[in-house]
Amino acid sequence: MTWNTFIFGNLSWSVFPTNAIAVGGGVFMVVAFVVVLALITYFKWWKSLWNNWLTSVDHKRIGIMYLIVATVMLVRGGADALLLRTQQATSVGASNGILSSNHFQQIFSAHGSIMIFFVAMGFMFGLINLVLPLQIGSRDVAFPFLNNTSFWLFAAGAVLINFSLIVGDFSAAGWLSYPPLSELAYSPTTGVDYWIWSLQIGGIGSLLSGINFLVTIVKKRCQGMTPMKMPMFVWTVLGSMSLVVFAFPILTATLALLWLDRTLGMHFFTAGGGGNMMMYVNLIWAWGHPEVYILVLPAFGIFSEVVAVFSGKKLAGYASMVGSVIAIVCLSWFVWLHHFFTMGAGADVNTFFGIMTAVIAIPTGVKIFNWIFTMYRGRIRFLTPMLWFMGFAVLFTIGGVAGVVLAEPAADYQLHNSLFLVAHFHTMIVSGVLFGYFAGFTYWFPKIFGFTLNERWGRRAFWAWLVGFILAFVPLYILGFMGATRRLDHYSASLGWQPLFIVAGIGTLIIALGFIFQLVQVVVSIRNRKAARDYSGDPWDGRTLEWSIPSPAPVYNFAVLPVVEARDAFWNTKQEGKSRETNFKDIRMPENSALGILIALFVFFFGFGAVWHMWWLASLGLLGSIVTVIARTFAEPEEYVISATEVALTESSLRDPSAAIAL
Amino acid sequence: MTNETLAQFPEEAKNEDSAVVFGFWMYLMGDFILFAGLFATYAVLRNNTFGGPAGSAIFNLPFVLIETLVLLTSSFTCGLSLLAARKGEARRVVGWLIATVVLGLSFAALEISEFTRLVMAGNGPQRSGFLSAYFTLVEVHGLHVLIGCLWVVALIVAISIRGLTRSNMRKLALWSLFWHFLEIVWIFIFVIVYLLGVMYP
Amino acid sequence: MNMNNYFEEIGLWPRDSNNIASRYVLGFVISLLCTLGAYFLVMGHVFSADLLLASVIVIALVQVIVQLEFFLHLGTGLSARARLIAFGVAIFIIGILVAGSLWIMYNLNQRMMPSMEQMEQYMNDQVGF
Repeated sequence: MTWNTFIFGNLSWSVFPTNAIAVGGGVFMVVAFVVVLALITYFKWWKSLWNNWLTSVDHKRIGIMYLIVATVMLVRGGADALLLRTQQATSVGASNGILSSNHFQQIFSAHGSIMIFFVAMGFMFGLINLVLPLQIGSRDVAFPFLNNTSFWLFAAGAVLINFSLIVGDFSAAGWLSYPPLSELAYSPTTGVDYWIWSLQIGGIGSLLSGINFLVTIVKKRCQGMTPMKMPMFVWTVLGSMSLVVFAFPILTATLALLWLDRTLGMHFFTAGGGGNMMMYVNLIWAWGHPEVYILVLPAFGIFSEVVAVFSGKKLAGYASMVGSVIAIVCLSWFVWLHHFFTMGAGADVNTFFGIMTAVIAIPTGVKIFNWIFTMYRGRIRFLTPMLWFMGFAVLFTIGGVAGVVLAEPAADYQLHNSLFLVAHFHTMIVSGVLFGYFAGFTYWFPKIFGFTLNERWGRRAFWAWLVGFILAFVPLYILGFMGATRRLDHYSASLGWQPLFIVAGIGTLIIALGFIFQLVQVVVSIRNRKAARDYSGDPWDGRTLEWSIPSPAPVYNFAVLPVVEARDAFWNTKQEGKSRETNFKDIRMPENSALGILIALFVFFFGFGAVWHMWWLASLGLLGSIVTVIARTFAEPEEYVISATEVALTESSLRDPSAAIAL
Repeated sequence: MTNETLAQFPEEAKNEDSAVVFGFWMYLMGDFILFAGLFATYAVLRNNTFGGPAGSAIFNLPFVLIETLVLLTSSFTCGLSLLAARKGEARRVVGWLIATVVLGLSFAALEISEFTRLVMAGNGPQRSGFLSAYFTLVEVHGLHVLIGCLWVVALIVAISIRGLTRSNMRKLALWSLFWHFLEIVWIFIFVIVYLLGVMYP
Repeated sequence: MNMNNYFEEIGLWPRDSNNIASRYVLGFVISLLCTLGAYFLVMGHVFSADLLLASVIVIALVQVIVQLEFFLHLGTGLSARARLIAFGVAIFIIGILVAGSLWIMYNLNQRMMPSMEQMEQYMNDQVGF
């Protein structure tokens, strides 16, 4: 080994992309990053950023940081989508569109990986962070420092996958990297390694967050909040996090085995040497199916909150809703083979999993009916969160029955890996997960920031997303029936598919417009924040505990930890006309810590070194992260005290318009 | 919470520490699933010897028995260290911890020597799917043991310096859960990989 | 809270921990016997194949349960309830994962990666799998 290879591993000057689009994307990303750094420097925000945000162990701050990273990744994943649609609308007959085959493959792989692991998971952990402790009457999550570290590990994974745009290439083997295509023989570049490590690092962050939130719900609920008095969002988070704790280790193991194949020449999934590539598909979907329920359950929880509040009624069928969450969590372990009906298992195996897949639709149906029953005879306010729910209710039902079609193995043999499948899962994820998180963001925004979001732009964003989504994906259902497979970068003109692809492309542009409207909404709302300031802490006439504290939520959340007597505890308090507690005491809060960032930085070095075979860097990263963790265990965690008088002052001034606290 | 303020808030400390124990237990359950995935892979690839040796040809059962007994004994000394901690005897705790780490490192050394022997004979993890699965399953367990040993060394240092503070007691509790868990995983490896491997060549 | 009952307070040890030392010793001795017993049963070819498999599995289960109870203190009492439930869930999921994977992969291997003999038999007899 030469000195050069030792230091630089497989890095060389040829790792930078050369085609216009990739270069454009990379340059845009780097320039945007530099501009952000420059702005922070210009406004002298570094000290405040470090002290108040980056090292914060406050769940509300960490939640906002998750949302910001997820939004940035949404831009990247969305740009990928626009490129894919453009390619498929133009690459017909004689034309080869705008992307080479290999580039197209990298883009759809990046699109899926980014959207699932960094956008959806990021939004989810962001919202859970913001809201969960508030709904259970707690001051913070169970392990605040771990919360900070988990966020930074998530961010490290995101940074690593973004590096793949500039340095080296990305995996061209799809968002799940099936072998043997993803093995070294057929993917000799660093692409799949980037995929492995950004997912592995982000996955560890997710696993730690899962443990954190699970323990928070089990151990940190306020007095009197028995399980059947918990808000529905808390139940769905409990279900989702228990899936995280038990499913993510499967991903960890599988990614590690693929990496061992690629890097140490082992034969788990190789085409020869005694490998079994079907085992990879089996393992990855044993994780992959619970993963989609991990994403959608909290969205269901958000809808339960939103529908009840905006219908002015308590949630219908609480017990059956809880039962359906438990049923979904249990059943999600019994269906994973439906992702590979066509891999060749016999009729008995396929039938078992097909039936279980059809069965798992039932508890979701229970939920939809209960939401509709909640609306029935309610006093419905069609504000933006409720609009997102209505869009969800229609689209998710359609996408769901498409799923039941796919659940039948014989039908799936025709539709597997067609655009019908692509339309189905996008319907579930966009109308279920994304609309749910958008509704949650709009609903809980005033609690975190102290002012409501602009209603008009919210409506515009909703309609753009709804119309855009329908235009983008109904053609795909049709194309699927016509025989179009997924991941096609070129097709023959005689098929007559192009008009549908063009409609889909237009739909994607309208979705992009919807996203822009959302950004405009945030900007406009910030400009109008004084006018939209909410001093009551309860702008929607809410039912759950988070609305009992002032807005923006103070760092300690509850001045006096609540004691709960009934479900919809805050609604109960309002009905009984109870006055607020005023016997304030000193509150001890955990101090910030920079060790989480340090751990994640070392882990990033490890990941980057592992990708490029710079073993000295990987070892340094590994050693550094271990040493930092040990150092953390030796340090006694510090706290600071908020005096009772300070608490009293905060409580009163947050609710007092004349106190004019700067937002 | 610092140790000084702890005296004033025993109830909160108890709740905090039992939350940490429960959280660590949930991590162990996740680790359990990880091992289950490796076991499932081993079971599927068990016969994929690709012309190379099967388990019965390469497993040295007497050697493995010694490894098993060493690890089992280390689990016992781990328990003894907790019993000493309960009596507040810091020096005895450190003594049993040292015994545990010596046994743990012996286990690791035995395993490494076994693997070296196999690799030298050309039967390393690159030889076949079966060997990849075998090596990975056993080595992942071995890596956990090494991490456990590193953890014990940090504990020995912490207890030697600061004595049996609440923080150190908590760390001792967590580490003991980890160590006993590893012993249980080894039982599965001993039976499923080695015993069954010899019974069904 | 003094350190004497710290492990009970945090839910690691059961509340009535008077005999905990003897439980550790008992657990160790039983595990030792189980390990040696299983080993010598296998090495000595004492039983027939099926009986041997059953005995080894039973012995292993006994040892695991003993260690769960005596070393990890999972069995008894309120303090370990949450941990026991989590463990139960983990066992349930592992059961499905392992059993499901084995069933699926066995089925797939037979149908998708048959051996030469199986291929010839299929072609000659026209019998499906």
